[in-house]
Amino acid sequence: MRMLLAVLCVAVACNSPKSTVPAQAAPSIAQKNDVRLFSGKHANGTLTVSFQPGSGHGISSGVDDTARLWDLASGTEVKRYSGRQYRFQSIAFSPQGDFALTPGTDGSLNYWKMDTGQLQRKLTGGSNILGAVAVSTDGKWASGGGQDTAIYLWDLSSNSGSSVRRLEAGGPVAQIAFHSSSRGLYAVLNDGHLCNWSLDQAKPLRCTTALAEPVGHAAFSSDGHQALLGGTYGTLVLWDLDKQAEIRKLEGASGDIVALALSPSGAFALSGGADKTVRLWDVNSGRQMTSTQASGDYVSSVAFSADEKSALFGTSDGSVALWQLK
Amino acid sequence: MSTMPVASRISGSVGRGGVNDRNDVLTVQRLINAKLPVPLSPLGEDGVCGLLTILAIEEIQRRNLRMPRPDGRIDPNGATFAFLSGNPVPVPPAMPRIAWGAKVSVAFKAKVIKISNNLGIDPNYLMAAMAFESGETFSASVKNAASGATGLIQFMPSTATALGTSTSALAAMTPEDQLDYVEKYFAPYKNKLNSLQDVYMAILWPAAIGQPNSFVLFSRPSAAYNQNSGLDADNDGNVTKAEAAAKVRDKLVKGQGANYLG
Repeated sequence: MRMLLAVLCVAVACNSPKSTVPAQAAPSIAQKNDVRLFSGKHANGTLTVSFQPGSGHGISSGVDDTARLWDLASGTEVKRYSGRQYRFQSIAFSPQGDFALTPGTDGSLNYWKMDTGQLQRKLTGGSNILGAVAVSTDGKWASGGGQDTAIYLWDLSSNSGSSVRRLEAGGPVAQIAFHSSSRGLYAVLNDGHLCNWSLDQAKPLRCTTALAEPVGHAAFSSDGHQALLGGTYGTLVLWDLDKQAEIRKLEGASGDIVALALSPSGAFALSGGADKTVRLWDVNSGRQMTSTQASGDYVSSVAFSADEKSALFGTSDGSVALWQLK
Repeated sequence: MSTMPVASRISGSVGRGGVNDRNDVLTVQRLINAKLPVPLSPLGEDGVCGLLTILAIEEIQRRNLRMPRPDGRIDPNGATFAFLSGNPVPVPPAMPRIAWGAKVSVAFKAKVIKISNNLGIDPNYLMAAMAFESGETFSASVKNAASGATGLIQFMPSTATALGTSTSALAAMTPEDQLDYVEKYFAPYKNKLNSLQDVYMAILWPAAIGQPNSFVLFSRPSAAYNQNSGLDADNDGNVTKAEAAAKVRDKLVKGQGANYLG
């Protein structure tokens, strides 16, 4: 267990070498036929989508208490996991993609095996829903944050199920990410604050207002230097975590931002939300490169492939789609 | 008369059709013997609920409790045992009347009171906030066409996702069931919402919780201002915490009026 957990990382952090994706390589404008809807829907909505590393598969989870594994080439469902524990709003994979860490109910996280769906370990201690999960790059720590006043930290090198540590956030948390050093943690709070902790102190070292409206969703770059915050009124702010300062706003989205992702190289971003549009952004210029309309009331989840050539998105009507970016 | 100490509680029912655990029967027999008026003869204290014990229970119910139809049975939380043991008769606490209580089901109201107790907030404030957010409908499916916000506290799409659900799943619930999600939403603010303004800020603008009433939530020009310009009562281009909460204050006053208090 210890060795397996030691190689866990957050889904977008399990990336291909950065050198293969030059920042200036802009994807061409996506045509309508660049989007392929997968065959099958989650009743009452998709919660999250992600690429399973190294497998040619994508995964989605929905409000219907199922997770589904999709063959990306054919768009067909290859495996279904059924049960309450397969309803989750985020997922972190091991680099090989054989294990997953997902939020459970009532403040727990589930660590499970992808081929069997079998639960390997349950991390308990939180008091309410933890929607965001992260694993430190050294594999020592797992963390969960959400509709709770604390962020919870589990020492994965300890076999004790009760080895939970609390980082005081004071209010609900939209997204979390470990420092690249694995010695600290960042969180975006729902009230617009961006806070920074050292893992050995419960109180944050610093909190700064990064977004002047309630946060809908947020994403961190895999190098741990930038965050993208999306507001419930459509504002998108790119934030420098080292300088604690706004880099730029990404102008053009409107309405509640529900889904965000920064690409593995950090050069691109995806956003989606109540304007029913998935947008691809050039992070360095702040310009929207292209977009595609989505079905349902809102876009609920977006994800980049490791090679940044395609994206997955899920919607509130339960559909899952693959978008070829170039 | 027995001089043995008598237990002041029984684990199950005793008498006609009762569970009649031996220790419970013994407790009841001793209590009856201590209370039974002369010239009735004392019961044998054997822990067996026979006909004499049942008749004695009925006699107590007829004479002392003035029951028109004695049932010969004693329940742990019933009036007969309360009389015998001298324990106060447990009375379920009366449900208080709350703002908008007449507009919702008894189950909804009871759940709001329970949730409010758990969260350390005034149930009138929570009802006023839901009255405002749901347009006085207390409907689980009422939806703002512009923002997609749905239900009792107008759950935003991003909020629904963070709670592991969707606005369509929330809309399909009964209002009573949706209150579970209201409680989950408010849980991080437990014991921090001491005013009507702060209860509403937890929904509209969490950054304003605990701030003074003059705190500016948003200003012109911004998307937040455009969507909520109706809140800017003095039309100065700034919406303060007090201005935003004034509409909810109106709902509190209205909900405590004769037509809606219940």
